[in-house]
Amino acid sequence: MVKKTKVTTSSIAINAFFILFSLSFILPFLLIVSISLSSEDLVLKNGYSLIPKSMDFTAYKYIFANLKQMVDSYKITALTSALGTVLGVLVMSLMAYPLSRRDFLFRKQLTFYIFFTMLFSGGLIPTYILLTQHLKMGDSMWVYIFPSLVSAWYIIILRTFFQGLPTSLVESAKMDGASEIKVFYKIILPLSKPVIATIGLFVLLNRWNDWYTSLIYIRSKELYTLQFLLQRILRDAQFVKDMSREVPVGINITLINDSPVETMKFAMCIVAAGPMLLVFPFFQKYFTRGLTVGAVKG
Amino acid sequence: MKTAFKLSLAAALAITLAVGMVGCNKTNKTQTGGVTLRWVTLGPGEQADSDMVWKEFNQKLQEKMPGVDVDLQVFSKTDFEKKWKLMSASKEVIDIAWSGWLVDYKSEARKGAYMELDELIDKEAPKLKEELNAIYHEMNGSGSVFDSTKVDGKIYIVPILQALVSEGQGLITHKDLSDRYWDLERAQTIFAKAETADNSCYDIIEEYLKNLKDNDQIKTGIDTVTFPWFYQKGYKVMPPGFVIKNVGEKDYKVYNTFETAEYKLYIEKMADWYKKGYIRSDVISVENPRQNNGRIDGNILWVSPTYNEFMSESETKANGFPTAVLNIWDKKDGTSSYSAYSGTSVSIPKTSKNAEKALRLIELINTKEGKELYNMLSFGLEGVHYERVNENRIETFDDSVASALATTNSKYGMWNWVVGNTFNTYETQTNPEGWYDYVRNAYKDANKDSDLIRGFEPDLDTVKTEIAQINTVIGEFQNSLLSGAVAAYEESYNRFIEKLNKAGMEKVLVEVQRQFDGYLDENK
Repeated sequence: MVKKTKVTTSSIAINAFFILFSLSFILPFLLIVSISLSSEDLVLKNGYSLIPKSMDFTAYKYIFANLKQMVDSYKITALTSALGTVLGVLVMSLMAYPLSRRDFLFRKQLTFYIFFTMLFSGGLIPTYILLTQHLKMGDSMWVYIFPSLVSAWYIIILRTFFQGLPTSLVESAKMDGASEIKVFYKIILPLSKPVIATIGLFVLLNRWNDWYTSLIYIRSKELYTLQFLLQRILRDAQFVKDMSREVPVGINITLINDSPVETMKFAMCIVAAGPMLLVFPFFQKYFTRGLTVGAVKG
Repeated sequence: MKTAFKLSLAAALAITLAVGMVGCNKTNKTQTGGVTLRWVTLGPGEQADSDMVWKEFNQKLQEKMPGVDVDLQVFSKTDFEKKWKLMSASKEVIDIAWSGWLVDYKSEARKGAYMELDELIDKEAPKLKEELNAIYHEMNGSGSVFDSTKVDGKIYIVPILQALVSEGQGLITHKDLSDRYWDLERAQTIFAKAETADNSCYDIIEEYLKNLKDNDQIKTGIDTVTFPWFYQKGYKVMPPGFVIKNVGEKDYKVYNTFETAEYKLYIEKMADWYKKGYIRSDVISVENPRQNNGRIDGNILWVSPTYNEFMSESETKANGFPTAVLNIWDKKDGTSSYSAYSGTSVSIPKTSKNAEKALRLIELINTKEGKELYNMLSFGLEGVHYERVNENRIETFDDSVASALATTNSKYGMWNWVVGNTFNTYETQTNPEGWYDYVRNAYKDANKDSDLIRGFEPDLDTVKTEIAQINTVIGEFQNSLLSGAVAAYEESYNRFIEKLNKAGMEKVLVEVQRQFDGYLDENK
């Protein structure tokens, strides 16, 4: 029943190579899991080890100490990521499609207009003033969605892909009486799944990892993103720890040595990256095809 | 397929709208319809009970300032600097802003970010000046607490009072070990006798280290991050690399730190100790060796930048094992590179539309009149966050709050040294009885001449380029030299000095000397 495969030196070599190759990805990940479950004292004393000497959840306890805040941040991150990705990909593909059509009148000018934004930007402070004082987006959830909704680079990738689709498809659909919008949704989009999935994943990852927006625009703790929250917990713990050794004169401070700063870093990796590990396989089947996106000259 | 797509689109829009509505509820917090003062400060951020405490605070505030609400915005260390820069650049309306050491208040004031307070204080808050100066006089004898914080002769910040002196620096070790292998008293006498860190100091320490090594108790050795403070004994240190002698026969001359005999001796000793194994061999690659301070199996010798009489107790409590602390300095010459007057302070930004009310609030928080309000902001509510022991002493339910370092995870607690005058703080379980009186009296014994030098802060704006280059050179050499882990330390040291001089050390020294001479003329 079992199909026999010939064992040759080359197949051993190839297999060995790939086993080692895989290990170089898997081992660091296991190490992260293991360290996050170790006790801070042991890590500082013995360094990192692949198998934890004893199970210790202190790092996780510290991170999840304020459960409500954590849940809030997860919600915000998930919501803004999902919404931002769906809206972003939609808007960007709607922009890119006309640019890919040779019969579009202002194609060149518009493409340049978009390309131009890649070279120059407004700078941080003017952007901040525009968003907070004129558009009133400061400290609200819109600031996660709209300012970064569209990326010039992704539009150009999308346009290049759309251009690769045969024009005859569009013409024949039109001959059958389809409107432009119908052509876009029925013909173009289904054929563009690889590029949509690729761009979607990029956008999703960017948004999932976004902490800078929170740092600059957000004041209410209900609106912190996950990454920002984690970073803050870690940095503040480190700060308090350093501070307790370097306090201003005359402030009597008992040192607080219980925050597990080292192991916490690793526990955070798990907390932050976990959901993305689940999402990734869904994109994977498009991903290989998507890799050639942009390889075709535009 | 078509319906599914439409549905998902519709759902996305619906969610967007729904979430948008939630966002709208947040504006307009005013309860009384009067003035809302926006107070931006450093701290552990918004905590679980923040809203509750601040609401109570605003209600209590009505007795003193009817019609005034305070909208507190507490940013953590992670985001304060960045947020302040943006808020200040975009001219947001803020009524009170913390202006401590994370913000360069001098350049902010020169940029016009803060309001001039001279007249305003005299007119609106005479009691503030009176009371702060009374405490200051009690400790210092004369002068005004505002004097040393002035920028171009004008007042821009209200310093938050705290102890103005350190009695020196503490050399910390494990008590079990020092009892067995060292003579603490002899060491203390030698430290007190030596003006600067000379051979006699290193000899007595080396005696100890050798005993530890011979008895296999060296553990992770000495802490190379904090131990370098040892060679600064007897000097006032100004970053990035000048010192003024602050003990004995004063010559009032500004030196290059790295060319002093003490610095040379220090790196020589470290190289020697590294070879002898008193410093861990992988010291260069350890990411944060300081983490091993205060651990039973960690470093056996480290330095704290401040020293006080109660330190053995507090360190023992914190570390969880008996700890011994020696004063590196002679008590009377106690000093600190920390700028005691401007380390933490508050200001009124120019954008404030209610400066009089803001100043009145600052007055309230920093004087006896508002003691209760001040402590409410620092510690929360009685019964919920702390229990009262007596009129001036409380026990908080969260230890980190008691030690003035509440975290984001604490239920409620702000750092009393960013809120206001710390001499109005209730004592907590981490303070010895009578702590704040002790702090006030400690200053009386301090050497006032030493204080004169301590008060000097150079303004390095004119030599910015040189300073940047000097800092780069220091970054390149300093760590390896201080850790002792360089094979040819002499060669490395010579190149260090050579590069420093090339970077313009000479010019900076002349400039600092000029400023210091001017300062002496003014203050002598």
